[in-house]
Amino acid sequence: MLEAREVSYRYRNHPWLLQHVNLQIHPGEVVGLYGKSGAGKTTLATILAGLKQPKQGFIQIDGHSYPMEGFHPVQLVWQLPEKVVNPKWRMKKILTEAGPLDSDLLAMLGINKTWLNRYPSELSGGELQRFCLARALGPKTKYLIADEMTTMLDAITQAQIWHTVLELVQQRNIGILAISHDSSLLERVCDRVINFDTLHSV
Amino acid sequence: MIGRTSFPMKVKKWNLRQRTLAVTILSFTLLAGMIGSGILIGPEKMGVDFLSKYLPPSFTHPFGTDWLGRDMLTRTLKGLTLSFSVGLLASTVSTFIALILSLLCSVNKKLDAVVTWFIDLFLSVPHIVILILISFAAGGGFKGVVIGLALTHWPSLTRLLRAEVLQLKNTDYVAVSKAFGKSRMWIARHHLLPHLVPQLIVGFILLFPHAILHEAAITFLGFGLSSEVPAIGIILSESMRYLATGMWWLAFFPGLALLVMVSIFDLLGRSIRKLIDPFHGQKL
Ligand SMILES: Nc1ncnc2c1ncn2[C@@H]1O[C@H](COP(=O)(O)OP(=O)(O)OP(=O)(O)O)[C@@H](O)[C@H]1O
Ligand SMILES: [Mg+2]
Repeated sequence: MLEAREVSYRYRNHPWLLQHVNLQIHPGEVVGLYGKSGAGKTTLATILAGLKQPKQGFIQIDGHSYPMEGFHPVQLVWQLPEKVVNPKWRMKKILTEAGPLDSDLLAMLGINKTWLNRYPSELSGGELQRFCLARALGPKTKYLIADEMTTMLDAITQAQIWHTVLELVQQRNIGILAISHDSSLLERVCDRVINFDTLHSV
Repeated sequence: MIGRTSFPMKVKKWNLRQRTLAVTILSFTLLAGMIGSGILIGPEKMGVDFLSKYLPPSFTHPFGTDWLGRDMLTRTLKGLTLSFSVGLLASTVSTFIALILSLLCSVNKKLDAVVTWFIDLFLSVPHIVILILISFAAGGGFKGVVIGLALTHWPSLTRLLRAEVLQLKNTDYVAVSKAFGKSRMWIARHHLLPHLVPQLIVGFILLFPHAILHEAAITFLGFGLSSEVPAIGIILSESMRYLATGMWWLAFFPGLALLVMVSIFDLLGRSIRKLIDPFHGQKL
């Protein structure tokens, strides 16, 4: 179980953004999180993925506290994929940075093999996002945080990607936190949906 | 050929790049010519000839001759070759120091503060003073000069590289790389180093003019290479004695040749920067 307990966070010289946030995600569970823009969803996501330390409170996975060594069991799919790939690398290197290529996964996510030799700037945002998703779905991933993962995709592609992800989640018993403004999407794909404002138990 | 003419839109862009490329090749060839001829000149050309003392520039001696009848063109070329080898050693070591120190800055805040402190220290003292002190402490002569030059030319390049390293270190893709379990060394090798390569090459070449001029300066002042070596600094300081007697060519041509070499290095460095890093960043 991925668990955030009493997590608080503020950016330097800014007021508290997250206060006493409590959240639990079980393996295989798909949890939705929605909230208004600027509420701090992405900030919470980076904390859960171990990329930022909370100022107060802590995160645990099955009783183990952060920081974690090696491949992080909680992987984040970022809202803006072009920021999380090295612009000077070809897609193949970007993918293999996370581990060996998984051809089945690439096919399931609709990644064209010819894209592997391109640079990130030669792909569309949606195409790039699929690479980021493939990278985050390594064999050691236990939880996936999808921060506006499919916002830049058309409705059909969006449905396809979520279909694939939900299938994998069941196969591998991965827990998911899906973050979106689009509560109707969340209602469709999630087991339960949380309003970001209710997370603060002030 | 046909392909090129059918894309008139591209012609202009190509011209700028080609021009820079031409400048690069030309300056490279000039430098190679200067240094190559300096290396190839045999000792027989360096001989003393008392019959042709104090000759002003002519066809047989384009740079004139000195008080021992030695050909000044030959001496100048030898001097430039020596300057180049000193510059090469010093720039290589300095660039290496700059790379290591800038990577150290990415490890943690404490190391960064230490490195920054050293950069500020070296930049706050007049360069020539530390240079003379270090050369002197290192035993003077060729070894002393090279050590002195190598240990004093890293700060500004380090500062440049450090800024780049810290900026890269804070990118999201480096954070993600850590989340994939990549080690610090792996990240330095794969994410940081390739981004630094253009800066390193350009920085390396642009260090040459500094190193060469500083070597000439301290040699001229008498703190550098010993007086038996055919260095430009030595030639210049010896020639000073003859300036008053109207033998202007003794100092003019060697000094001019040194300035020309330094300017060509500068031009080469800046052209290469334009070639390999036209928009700063993006793929190589
Ligand atoms: N590095 C930073 N320094 C200071 N403030 C920041 C920083 N990053 C984000 N913020 C601020 O923190 C707040 C929350 O940002 P965050 O990205 O977590 O919101 P979000 O809920 O994901 O919004 P959106 O739905 O638009 O993606 C915003 O007001 C933002 O301006
Ligand atoms: Mg966000």
